[in-house]
Amino acid sequence: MSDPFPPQALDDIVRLGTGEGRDLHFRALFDAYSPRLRRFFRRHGRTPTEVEDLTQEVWVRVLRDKKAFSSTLEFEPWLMTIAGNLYRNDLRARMAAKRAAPEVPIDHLEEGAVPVLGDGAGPAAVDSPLGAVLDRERRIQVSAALTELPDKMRRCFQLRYDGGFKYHEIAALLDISIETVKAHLYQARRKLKARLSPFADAAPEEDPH
Amino acid sequence: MSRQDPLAEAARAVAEPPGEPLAMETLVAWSRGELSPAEREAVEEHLARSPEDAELALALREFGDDLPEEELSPEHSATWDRLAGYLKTEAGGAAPAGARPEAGPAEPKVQVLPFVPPSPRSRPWMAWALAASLLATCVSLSWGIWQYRKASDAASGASVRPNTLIVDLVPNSHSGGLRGSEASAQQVFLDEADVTLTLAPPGDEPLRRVWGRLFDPAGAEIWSGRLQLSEGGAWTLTLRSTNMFRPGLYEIEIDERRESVTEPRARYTFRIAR
Repeated sequence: MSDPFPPQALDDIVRLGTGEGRDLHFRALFDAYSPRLRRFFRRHGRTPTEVEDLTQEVWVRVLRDKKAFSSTLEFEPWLMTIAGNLYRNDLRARMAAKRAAPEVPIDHLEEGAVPVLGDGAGPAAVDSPLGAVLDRERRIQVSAALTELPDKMRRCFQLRYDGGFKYHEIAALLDISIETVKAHLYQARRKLKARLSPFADAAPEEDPH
Repeated sequence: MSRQDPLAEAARAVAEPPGEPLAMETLVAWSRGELSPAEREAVEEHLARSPEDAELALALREFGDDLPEEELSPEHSATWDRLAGYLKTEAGGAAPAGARPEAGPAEPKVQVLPFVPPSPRSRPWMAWALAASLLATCVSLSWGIWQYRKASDAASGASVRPNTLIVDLVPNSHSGGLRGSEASAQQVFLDEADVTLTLAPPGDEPLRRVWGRLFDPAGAEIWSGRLQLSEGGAWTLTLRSTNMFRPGLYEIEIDERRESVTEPRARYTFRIAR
C-alpha cells in the first residue's frame, strides 16, 4: 500500500505543535490507518472492545513517541512497529493468563471430580522402561529425519505440524505457492514415514514385572 | 489437522525452542519485502520454529493488503473523541472559563530604598583586584576539572577490553548535541532524540549488515537489533531515546547473525560523556 501521506506527515504534526491544524492532520492519519489497525488486531478472537482499545493505544503511543519519529523514517512501517509490539505484548499477556489458569478436563467437570496430576498425562506405554527407551529413540530418529529434509520442506512441515498453520498461510510465510506447500508436505511425510517405519510397528509392551 | 496425527506429535516432540523473538523492525521489514535473500532466509527459519512470531508476521503482511469497502464503525468516532481529549490535554489546554486560580502566599512587604549612584571617587585598584581574583578562580577550576577527568579516564580505562574503540565526546555546538572527536568513521553522535554510532569494520572484513547488542554501563542489555551498513563503508547504529544514554562506558557486540551474537566476532567499547 502506498502511504496516503508523505513520510513527513507526522513531522508536520510535530512541527505544528498544538492547535487546530495539527488535530486536522492527525485526524486524517487516524481515519486512514485505523481500519487497518482494527483488522490487524482482530486476530486471535479478540472482542471488538479489545480491538478498539488496542487501536486507541497505538495512537496514544504515536502521540507519546512522536519525537522518536524522524524524517528519515516512513510513517507506515513505524506505525506497524508500534502496533506489532502491542500485538506481541497482548499475546504474551494472554498466553501467561492461559498458562496460569488451572487445566480441568471436561470429563472431570462433568463428573464433578477433582483432577489428579498425571492422570492421563501421557501414553501409558511410556510409563514402562522399555516404552521410555523406545520413545526416546523415536524422538532421536524423528529429529534426525527432520534435519535431513531440505530447508523449505522442513519449514513447511514445522509450520504445518508444529505451528498448525493452513496451507495458504504457510505459502505466505515462505513466499511460495500453495501447490509447492502441498508438494513439500507430501514429500516430507513420505520421507519421514519411510525413515520411521521400523518404529511405527514397534508398539511398546507392558513391563511384565 | 488432527492432534492425534503421529507426525504432528513427532514434530511437536522434537520442536526446538525458537530462541529470542525477532526485532519488530525486522518483522516489519520482512512483511514489506525489504530484506535481502539471506536475511529473508534467516527470518523464515525463525518463523518455522516460532508459531507466535509466524502468527504476528502473517498479521503484519496483511496490514498492507487492500481493505474491503466498509463504513466506519461507531467506535471509530468514539475513539477519536477520546483521542481528541488526549490531544487537548497534551497541548496543555486552557483552563475552563470561570476558573479562578488559587491565591498564592502573600508577598512579604519590603522597604524600597532609593538608588544611590556609585561615588566617582571609588578606588581603581579594587577593580584590578576583583579581576585578578576572578582569573585565579577560573584557572583553579579548570585545573580541577582537568584533574578530575584525567582520574576518571584512568579508572574507566581499566575495564576496557581488547578490540576496543574509545570515543570521547566533546560538546558539540551543532544542534546542542555531542560529537565524537575521532575521525569521521569512528564517531558517536548524541542528539536530543537519536544516537548514531558509526563503527569502522574490524580489519579487512567485508562489509555487510550485522546484528548487534548494546549494553549499558551496568552491563544490562538495552538494545538488540540490526546495524545498517552505510554508504561510507561503516556500520551504523541508530537508536532513539536520550534517557538511556547516561554518561558512562557502553559496550556493543556485533556479529553477522543474530543467533551467534552470544559469541560476538567483535566487541567495542565507547564512552558517552557530557
